[in-house]
Amino acid sequence: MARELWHRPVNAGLGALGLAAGVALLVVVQMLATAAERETRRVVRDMGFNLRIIPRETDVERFHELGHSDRTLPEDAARRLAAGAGTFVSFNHLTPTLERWTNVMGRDALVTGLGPAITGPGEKKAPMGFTVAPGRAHVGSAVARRLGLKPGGTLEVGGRSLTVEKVLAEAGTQDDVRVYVSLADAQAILGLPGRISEIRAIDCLCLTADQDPLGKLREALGRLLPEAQVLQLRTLADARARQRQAAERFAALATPLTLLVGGAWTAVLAFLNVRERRAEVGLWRALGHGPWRVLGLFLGRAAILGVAGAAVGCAAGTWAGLHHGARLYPVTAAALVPDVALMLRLAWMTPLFAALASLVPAALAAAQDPAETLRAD
Amino acid sequence: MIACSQLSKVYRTPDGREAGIRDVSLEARPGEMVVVRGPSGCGKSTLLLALGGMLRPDAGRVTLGAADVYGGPAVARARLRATTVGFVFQLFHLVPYLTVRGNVLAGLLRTTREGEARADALMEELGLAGRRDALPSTLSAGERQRTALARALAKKPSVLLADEPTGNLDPANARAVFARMDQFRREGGTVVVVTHGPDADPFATRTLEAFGSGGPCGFRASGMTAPGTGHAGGTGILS
Repeated sequence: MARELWHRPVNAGLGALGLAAGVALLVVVQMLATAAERETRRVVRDMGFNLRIIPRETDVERFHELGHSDRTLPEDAARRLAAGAGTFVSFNHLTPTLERWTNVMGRDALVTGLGPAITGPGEKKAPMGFTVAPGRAHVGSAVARRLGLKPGGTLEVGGRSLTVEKVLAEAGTQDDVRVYVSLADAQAILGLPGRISEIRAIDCLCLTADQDPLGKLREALGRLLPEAQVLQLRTLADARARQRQAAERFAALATPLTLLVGGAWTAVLAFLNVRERRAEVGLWRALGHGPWRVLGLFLGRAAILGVAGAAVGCAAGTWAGLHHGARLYPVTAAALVPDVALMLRLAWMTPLFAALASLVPAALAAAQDPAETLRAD
Repeated sequence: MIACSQLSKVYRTPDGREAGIRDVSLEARPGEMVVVRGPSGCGKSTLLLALGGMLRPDAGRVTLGAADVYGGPAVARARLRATTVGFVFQLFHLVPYLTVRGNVLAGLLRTTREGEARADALMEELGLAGRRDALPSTLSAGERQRTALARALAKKPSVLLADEPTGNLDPANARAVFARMDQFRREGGTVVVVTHGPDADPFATRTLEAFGSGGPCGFRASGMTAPGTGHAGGTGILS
């Protein structure tokens, strides 16, 4: 078979090239779709959570005036919400939070206590946002500037001494007057043990505004956590949902199209190969080799081309994915890595696909009447 | 021994005329070289393909030894071709991407050490030892036909069927090919050759001439020569 491929380099080359192009396209699409989602997640994370689950009795106007709820929920509300997820509502990450304006060394700052993030069921991705260890603080730029704080410095708040772990970059938002601490520290500073003022979440309802995600979310949450209400930062949620849906639509179009074009290309070249080898097939049959042997000749040939196409396609697709992915998604460029699992799948699926695409031409060759061929010659 | 009785196979050519064979009977025994001679298009190749189990006749019967060639399934005919019948074609039909040795070994269903040794011996005998790694495209016509002959003989067939085996060869190569076929016959093999020229005459133990025109031909015995066999004659072959 290898000799035959070498003997007909144009047909073999075009066959392998077509398969390689298809494989490369699949690898690039998959890599870039993953990169796009990762980039969006990162950007959304940097923009903040898109769901704020607050006590039901919170006055929404007061909430917006203060920037936080002035009421509280029991801390275990986050756990209860997480336990019910999957039945009523799905989420990627939940972060129990306690927030209050309080005096920090002479002026009010927004003290925000962050509990450990709860990852959604089946969610393998790293938690978004960040956590603060007990005894540590992340200080907003305006607070740090006023108090002359630097990483390693000490912040006195509510009678507790906290080590400044990080000074946040100027954001131009309320974050500049915020002090992030651990939830336990916040509860101690604010005298609210076991309480939180909200649960922050990034949902994965993945619906756009016209699909009424908030209505669905409120209906589900009403059953699961009746003492809470939910506010959605619709712009962020929409951006995230639209991006995900766009990536899914692209993959849904590109994958079958690639399979269709790649399959047709392989089948046409296999037909040409069978036609070119009519006399040879007649000879094999005349020599007493059975139809299975002839079938094996053509299917084996296709499988060899599939292996070559998979190898070249994976290499080319990975190179293109890394090269262009880094330019398209600069924020998460460092996270771009070869998709080894996909390549392993393609390594066995491509030869199988090539053999299947060549099945009809190979079957026609196997069914060829040797007498007709030899008589024609 | 290979034989056929009342064998008919008629088909239409692309230009609409009838061709093939009608009511042909033939018996070729071990030690015989039967030459079937006639003009192009008179059904000689059809006869050979039908004898070799590659073309089911419209009527009649073909027997190879005790086996009814068309009495069993296609797989049984393929097995007969693989083990009992060697073919030699005018256009050689070598596999273009295999070397001379690869082509000779292609005649075997399975490559065994014994088969390889036999293939090497045949190449040596037919003057191909120095060309064993050459591709068909680099061979002369004589070398190609000798390769095809070695391929046909490698499986140790009992019957050799040759279709215009020397049609593209110079006289020296033609003599060499027929000489090796003659050796096969002397060793107890059966040879049926179809040809339109007289090259095979010196080696023929029996010659059948085609007659008729404008349709399927019949064949009849012409001169009966049996060099070195002591076996003369054959049955009447009539349309």
